[in-house]
Amino acid sequence: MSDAPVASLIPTGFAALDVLLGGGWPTGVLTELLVPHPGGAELGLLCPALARLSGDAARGWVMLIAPPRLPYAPGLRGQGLVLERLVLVKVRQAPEALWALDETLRAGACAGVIAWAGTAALPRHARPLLQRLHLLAGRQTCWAVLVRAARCRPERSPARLRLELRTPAPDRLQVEVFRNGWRGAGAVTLERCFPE
Amino acid sequence: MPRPVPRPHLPGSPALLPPELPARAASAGPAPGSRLWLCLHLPELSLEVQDPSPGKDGPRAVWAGEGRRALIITANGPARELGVHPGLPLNGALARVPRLDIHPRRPDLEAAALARLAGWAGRFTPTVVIEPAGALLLEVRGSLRLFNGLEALRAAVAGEVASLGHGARLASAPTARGALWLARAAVPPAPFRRALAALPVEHLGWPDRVVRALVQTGLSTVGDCLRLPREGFARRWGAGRLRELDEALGRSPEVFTVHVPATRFTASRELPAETREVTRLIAGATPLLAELGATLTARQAAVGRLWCRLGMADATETRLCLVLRQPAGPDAAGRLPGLLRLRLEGLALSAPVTRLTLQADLEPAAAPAGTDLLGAALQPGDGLPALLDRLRARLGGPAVQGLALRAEHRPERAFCPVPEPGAGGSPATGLPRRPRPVWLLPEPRGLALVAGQPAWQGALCLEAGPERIESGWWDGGDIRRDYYRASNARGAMLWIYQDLRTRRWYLHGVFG
Repeated sequence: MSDAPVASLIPTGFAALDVLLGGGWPTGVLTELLVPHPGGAELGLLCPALARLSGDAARGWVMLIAPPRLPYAPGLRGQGLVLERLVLVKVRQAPEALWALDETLRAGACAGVIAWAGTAALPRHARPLLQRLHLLAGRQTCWAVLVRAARCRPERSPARLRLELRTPAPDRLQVEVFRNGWRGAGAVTLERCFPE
Repeated sequence: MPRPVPRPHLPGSPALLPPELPARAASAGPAPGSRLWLCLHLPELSLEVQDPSPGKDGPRAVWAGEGRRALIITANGPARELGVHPGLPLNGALARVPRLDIHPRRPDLEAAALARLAGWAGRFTPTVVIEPAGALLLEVRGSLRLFNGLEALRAAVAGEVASLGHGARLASAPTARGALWLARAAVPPAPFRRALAALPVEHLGWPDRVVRALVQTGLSTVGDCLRLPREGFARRWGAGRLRELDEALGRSPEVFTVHVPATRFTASRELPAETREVTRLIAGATPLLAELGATLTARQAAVGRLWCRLGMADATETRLCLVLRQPAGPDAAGRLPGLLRLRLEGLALSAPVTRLTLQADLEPAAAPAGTDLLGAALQPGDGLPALLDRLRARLGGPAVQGLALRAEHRPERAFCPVPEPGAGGSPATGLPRRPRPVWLLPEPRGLALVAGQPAWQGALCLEAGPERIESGWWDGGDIRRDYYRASNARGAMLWIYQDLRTRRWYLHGVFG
């Protein structure tokens, strides 16, 4: 596995997670985020970084590919996202999400891209595609996150950063990093905040 | 009673004109001014537009006219060697060369070929005039510097027209008519007025009987005609012919209809074999796309929409339309095959395709992509339009959108998708002050009650609320709801509401 130098780091918005990741979300690699139910807490975890990227017009666009639910504009705006820099891509079937992510990484037009790969395990023929996504991500300075269901954790994956998100309590997020290049693994518990 | 014509108006003999001056300076007259016309005369156009019989290099000729007056108007080299010349009656030509391959004249094909050539000539100058008798007139004064002078420009035009499969004779002159006459006569280069004076009258395009009468009266060249008194010439040969002479000399202004190129590109072709395979369809479309690319280059145009019509073996037609967010200009035409492929891959064809037609409306090209006007490097994100085009080609147009806010209290109407990401502005007022979830359910989902409390994957615990939203009484979509933030044992944070009219509970959103 090629450990190309990480292009830059995007602060996650959570101090403890920044420490665990060594400074922030890495760009130029494929990040695989495993969640119990896609369409839940993961967007709260990713939103601070998305907001930071979308606020910087010089860096490009942020894209959500195949979100499992309707991203709600007032909520995203409330998290600080600049909606004018956001692109939504809907797909009909899960493999198209990987294709769209492939195209997006190739084009190099986005500063950040989150793709939901569906809940099912990837068919065998789609696995080389993951490898290609990993290689493509290494050529760009894009923050590329692939969201998958937690049950895919035993599957082999070329992603250089793999982490799993859990919600042990309504006001807690637990993030377990179980692969991060040459860095050590670890877990942190973060506070979810819901401003009144 | 002929009045004496004032001396300055007399058509002077060639010797009185300054023959030593180059053509450009000789046209010091006010009207033609600094114009320079390049004429492409296509003597064999009527033959070139005919379908060549396959594998035949033999004598060929084109005829026109009715019955016994059918005359040969064009003959190719082998035919001319056998004595078939323009003007020969068709019967005579066939008697002389029985194996002569003859074609009736096709004025429609000639006009189409001229229009196509005029479009091509647009890459040399914006002023192109079609002479229906088989010539193009290009005003090239403004293009000389770009093409490094007249000789280089002539060479470029001659080379390209030959590669397009046409034989052309070129001549340049300060007047369009002068250039046309000189090109028809194929005279060796000479100072303009001397060349014009020496021009035989049969190259002026006048009717044969007029030419014969002129020659019989001893007027065999333009110079001979110019020596006559003007009024006498006009009375005997027609005022129109005098005007033509004046126009050729630059004494009276010329009136043209400048060719306006068609704004729609259409090209069509039969596939070598009927097929359903995308690879073969792309291979079949490649020449059409190449033609489109050449047209875009010649016209410095771009296409924003490309229509593709697939003619099927069962005589039906499938149409598809590629909409490009970033119009494909001359330099971007290379991405069209890839987009077409993506589109064709998503298509279920009911029958094999036999014929392909491409249509596109040409629009002015924007500044070339890659660098901006000052040559600055591309910004990140500039590749987005091309990316969106590719995504839309495969996933469908509505699959790619942006999001915008609306000043609206009803949660399900507080946003709208925008077809072009980045296009929607956000209202400055009317935004909710209370927290909103990042996910919304397209339709509120009814919640069951467990022990009198709403439940969703376990009993729900109300964490915050209520937030009352009453709105919409004016348009019939009125709501009265109390919204709460609620959590369940799985750690999900949900946005639920109680409908105050029915007292029922609904799940409407999920917090991130």
